[in-house]
Amino acid sequence: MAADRGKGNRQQSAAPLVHGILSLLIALHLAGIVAEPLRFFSRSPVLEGAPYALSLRRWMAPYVEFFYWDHGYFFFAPNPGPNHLLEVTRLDSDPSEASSRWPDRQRHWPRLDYHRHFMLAEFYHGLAVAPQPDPQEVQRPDLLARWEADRQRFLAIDRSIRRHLDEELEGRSYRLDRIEHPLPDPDQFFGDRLRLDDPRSYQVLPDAMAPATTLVAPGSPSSPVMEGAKR
Amino acid sequence: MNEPLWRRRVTGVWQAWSEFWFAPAMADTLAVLRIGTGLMLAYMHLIWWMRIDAWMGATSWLDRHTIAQFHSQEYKWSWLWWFDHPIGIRVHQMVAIALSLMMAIGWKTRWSVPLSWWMGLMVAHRMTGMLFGLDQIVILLAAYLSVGRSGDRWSIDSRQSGGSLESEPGSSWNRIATRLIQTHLCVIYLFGGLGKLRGGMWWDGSAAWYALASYEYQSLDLTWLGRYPMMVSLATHATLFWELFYCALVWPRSTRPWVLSMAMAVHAGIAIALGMVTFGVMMMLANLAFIEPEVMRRIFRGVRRWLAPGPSDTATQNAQVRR
Repeated sequence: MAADRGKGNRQQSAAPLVHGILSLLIALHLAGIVAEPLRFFSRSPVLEGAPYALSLRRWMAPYVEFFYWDHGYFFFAPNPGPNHLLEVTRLDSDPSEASSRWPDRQRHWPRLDYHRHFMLAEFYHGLAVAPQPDPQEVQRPDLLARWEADRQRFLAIDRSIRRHLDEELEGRSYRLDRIEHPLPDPDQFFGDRLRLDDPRSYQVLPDAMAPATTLVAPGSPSSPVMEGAKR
Repeated sequence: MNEPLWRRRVTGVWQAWSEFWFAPAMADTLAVLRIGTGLMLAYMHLIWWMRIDAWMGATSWLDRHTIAQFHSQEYKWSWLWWFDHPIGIRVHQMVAIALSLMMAIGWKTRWSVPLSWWMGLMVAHRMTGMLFGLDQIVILLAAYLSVGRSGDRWSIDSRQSGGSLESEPGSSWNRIATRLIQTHLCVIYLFGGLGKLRGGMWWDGSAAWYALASYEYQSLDLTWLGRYPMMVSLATHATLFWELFYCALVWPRSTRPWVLSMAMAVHAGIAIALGMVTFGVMMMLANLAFIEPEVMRRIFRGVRRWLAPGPSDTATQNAQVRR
């Protein structure tokens, strides 16, 4: 009993020290979980984030990134925006059966599987970078360097997706398009009686990622389509 | 001798902080979170399994070399960047599913929960590009559950202990885990709200319409609500204000039920109408972290009595009937 009392006293006297150490760890952890949302939320057209937020994010990077705390939590923000899909058009088959889309409610089931494909299409779209730098980027070396890095990043993802499609389509030629599906406003929906899945509401995005997806001449050996299929 | 005022204040703050983070807590609420998170992790791994070659194989949509290169400037790492052999990735997912189920049933919880979290983390770093809020919330919960002693209740472990775990008075680790979940939820909702403040549709009240009119998300057609702009704008602003003030109003006992009810309504709406059942369910589950373990225990006792009335309940009912 005396031993128990002694143990209890030791635990009691150790508690402030243990609590102090744990408090420090908790404070560091809290700094870690707000680092990315703070940086993300404080972006502007001029700055990548508030300077203190950028510093915090940089200091906490190993912790934040490895432990998967690097999220901005901008769900449906700043605005609900258009959705993006991937469309693969086979160039050697009956036109009515030639194209397939990702995600597809019929093929991708259960819903979580559908959502995984949906996120892939959005990810691909989010990384897309124009094949040529714009005039402003050409004039500023820092912007040009960033364009180049972003473009290479996108092309690496693009190549991986095409390798997958090459295998799935067994080497047949195809065209890969990004599709944008804007959200109708109430006037369009009720006034024009536009269905949400009206085919006219899906727009093929222009060749932001050409030459990889631009059809120059189907079947031509120098065509990017062939390049995509054979790669 | 009187202590100086500043010292009393500092001591008071420290005591409040210690009470907030370290006061021992029972494991009932964490046990509920553990069961839900374990089951969801198992389901997520199962869904990856369904098309495992397309997701993790050598010629997957985003192969391992591409993902490793993509993260080369970051502190991310996954052992799934090392292999994509069909057998290897299948064994990996099988182990992940088994661990998640062990977590759910509370078997060897001390290590099955951290290992489930670790497997989830490894998959998350491999599956970049296919992830969304569900992965964030599940990995977050699994990480914090690794800190607490959620296996002390509703688990194989507690049964094997012959009830000795259940009779323990509670642990500071449970309190820390619960507080970490709660504060993280506050961060999520605060920045979710602040992010919305950057968009005009959340100001003019039309955002809810555009969420409902998003065909790719839609799982229940509620576009008829668009005929009632008053309702749509009210729903938009209610969501916005709730998210913004969640971090303040969820703590006082008087406002907590309202804030949590709104959380349940919003996430149920997302689950039912916007096709994200998994995400909606996990967010509702995470919000249960604000329910005190004692309350959770009373709820479960009530449910248990309702499902299988014991002799004492029957006697009470009989006495009531006689009266």
